[in-house]
Amino acid sequence: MSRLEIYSPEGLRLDGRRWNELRRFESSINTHPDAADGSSYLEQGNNKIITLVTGPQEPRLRSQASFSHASVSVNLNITKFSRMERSKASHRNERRVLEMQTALVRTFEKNVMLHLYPRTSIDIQVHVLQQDGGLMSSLINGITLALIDAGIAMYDYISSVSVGLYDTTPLLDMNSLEENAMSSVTLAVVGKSEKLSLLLVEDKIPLDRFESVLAIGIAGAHRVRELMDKELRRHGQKRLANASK
Amino acid sequence: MSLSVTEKSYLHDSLCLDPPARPDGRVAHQLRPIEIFTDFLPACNGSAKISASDGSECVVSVKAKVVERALEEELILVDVDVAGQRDDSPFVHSIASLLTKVLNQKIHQKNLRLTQKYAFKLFVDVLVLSSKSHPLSLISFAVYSALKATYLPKLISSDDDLEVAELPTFHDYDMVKLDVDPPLLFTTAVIGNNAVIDPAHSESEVACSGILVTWSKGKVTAPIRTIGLNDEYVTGIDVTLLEKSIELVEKTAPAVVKALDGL
Amino acid sequence: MAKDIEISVSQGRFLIETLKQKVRLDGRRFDQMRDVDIELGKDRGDVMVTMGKTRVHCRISCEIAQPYEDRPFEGLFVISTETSPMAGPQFENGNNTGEDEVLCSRIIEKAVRRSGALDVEGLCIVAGSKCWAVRADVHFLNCDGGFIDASCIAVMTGLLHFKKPDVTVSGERVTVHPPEEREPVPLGVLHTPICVTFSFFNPEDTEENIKGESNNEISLIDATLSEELLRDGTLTITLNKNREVVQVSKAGGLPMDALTLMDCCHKAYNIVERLTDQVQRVIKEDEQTRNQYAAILSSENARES
Repeated sequence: MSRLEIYSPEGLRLDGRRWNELRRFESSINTHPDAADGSSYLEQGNNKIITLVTGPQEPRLRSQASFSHASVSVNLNITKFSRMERSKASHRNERRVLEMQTALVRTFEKNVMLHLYPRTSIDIQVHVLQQDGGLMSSLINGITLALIDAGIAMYDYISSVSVGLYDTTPLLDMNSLEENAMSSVTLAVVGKSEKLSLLLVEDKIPLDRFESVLAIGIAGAHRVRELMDKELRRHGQKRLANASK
Repeated sequence: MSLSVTEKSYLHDSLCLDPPARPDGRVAHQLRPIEIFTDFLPACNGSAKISASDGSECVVSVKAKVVERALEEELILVDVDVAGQRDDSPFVHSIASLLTKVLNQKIHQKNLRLTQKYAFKLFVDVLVLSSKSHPLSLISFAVYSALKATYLPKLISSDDDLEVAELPTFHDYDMVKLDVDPPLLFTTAVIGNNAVIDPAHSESEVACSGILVTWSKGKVTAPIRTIGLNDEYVTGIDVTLLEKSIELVEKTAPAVVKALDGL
Repeated sequence: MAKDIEISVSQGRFLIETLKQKVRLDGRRFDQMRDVDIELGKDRGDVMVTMGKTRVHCRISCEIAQPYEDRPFEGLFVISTETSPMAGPQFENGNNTGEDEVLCSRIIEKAVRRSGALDVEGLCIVAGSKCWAVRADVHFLNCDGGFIDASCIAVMTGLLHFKKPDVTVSGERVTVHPPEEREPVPLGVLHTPICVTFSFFNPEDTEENIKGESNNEISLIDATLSEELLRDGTLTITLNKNREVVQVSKAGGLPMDALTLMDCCHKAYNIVERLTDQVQRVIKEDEQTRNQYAAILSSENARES
């Protein structure tokens, strides 16, 4: 359908990557220390995402409080200017956004030690300033970083990446051009394990290729975890150096 | 964060002194430090991110679209989204309509004119990530920087297209800097017989009223109006305070413009 | 699915305990689906699907409408899945923004509409101005778990069963022929996606699930309502007979080993194969009962070969 060559015979993709290469992944945490308890700014390729975590705090409504564990809420704000073409309507109440919010809540509910914070709520705000494919995976990575910054107890990192299948070649970490041209799989991995916390497949993939796509995705997610870990340790050292001055 | 009655009374009394003693040690015409980045969103024609020292933060994106001049009344549309506020809340709505009005008044349409038939329409999207005090002044600084950092595609087709049914064509990669002089909005808080510029959250809490002053092309212009800084105190104000506010802005604004232009 | 109904603690513990002993309350095996009963109504595109106590009704209808401006060659296809208190006390009337309702409708939407199960280009009558708008109304009559699976079967059976009136186009003039005049034409169904939902339970503590190697998590196919209320995670796989994964949705929940999930896919495929055959058999049988006089009325002579 498109004139663009998604994957050249030489093995190069539209943006010059090989099939198993991630996009530029730059993150920083504690970017908004005065605005929220935990915050992160993530650039995964051209995705730019600000995540703010407030909490654990007293829930706004008494009825939201649960006596046994904290409640998590995610508010996803996809800005109107996030795509190349500005959208006229607000994305706030779209079904797609509601679905993503629910998926995010359910992903993190199982990974945050909620029982340590009874009667509280943890509110996560995500602002998507720019999106370029693989949005869901960037959201998950951003939230993981912000939750860690907020000092909320978690069992492990959740790292996420998207994989596409072009004919028979899996392509790691797709941008939006690639995403529009082929089917996509988003998966979120817990820590260094092979356990999937989230798995979303959109559009058809042959059942027999599915396993190899998952394998690439898991390897990619582990790489993302390393990159996040590196940034966190760098940030930790910087803070430690400041504190000991 | 709400203040106790004692705290409020202490703040109120110290701000009423002559000269006012502000909780963060500023003088009356001094702004809080701000940090601005521009041009960080490659998918937009212009962008700016501004953060104030109290954690207030605001992101502005400018996107341009080619429209037929005859069909559009306003060539600049401002859309405001304040985190934690509904899109249709009166607060958000009032900021958006005020900014749309001020920008359309102060920026001449000819700056956006493309050809005889077409013009650029600018969509200015404002996202307030967090705001402790009234965000209007911060937003206007961000909008100013974003518009100053806006680049539009370079026209290569002919200007005279009134008779031809042809869409304008642009250079593949050359961009032209948008040449506009956007207005700046300043807020002042009125407390007792004093006016202070850029009130912090604690100052807004005890302010009797707020005044909005517009600064455009080197002078104070309309609209000048009162704004509510808190829910409790909204009183009428003395005319002299209006003058005081204007004086404050006149003292500070040139330096602000210089600093913003120096980016 | 439910938010307001809660299962009592002792009942919940009992259920988990039986699951640990590899027993389900209704006597099924863990990977056994309830028997699916598909009933076709008198009208075309009128389907009732029953799985245990879960009952879903689907009605397909069509009308002539204007296509979207950016897609002049495509017809419209809408699936409406509205829950009402009829299905159970946990559903509110007119409120379809609950987490589960949204997930449910999105999955059906992705499985059937976005996977291109219905050939929308075949719905075009006059490019840019007239097309068929096909509508699938799914009604949830009774809820005992497995809504997604049942409604997917219902919608697909409905689409296969439904026939739209024949039209002739001469220039801009469109004539719609009533069924008495001309035999209605079936819709172009390109493939039959079928959803299979797995529910995951964690019999041990969370640390074991996340850090452990044992992979002792229990996965059930086609959970009933009480099992759905207690589950820790869910996975819906949509497949078709061509061994294509149409859609997978595991929106968070209990982290599961990738190999286990692959295993689920293969299990699901067997079920999908069986259900697709069942759907086709039901359609075929219905066709035969409708046309039982076709052989008598036909003027065709028996041919000797």
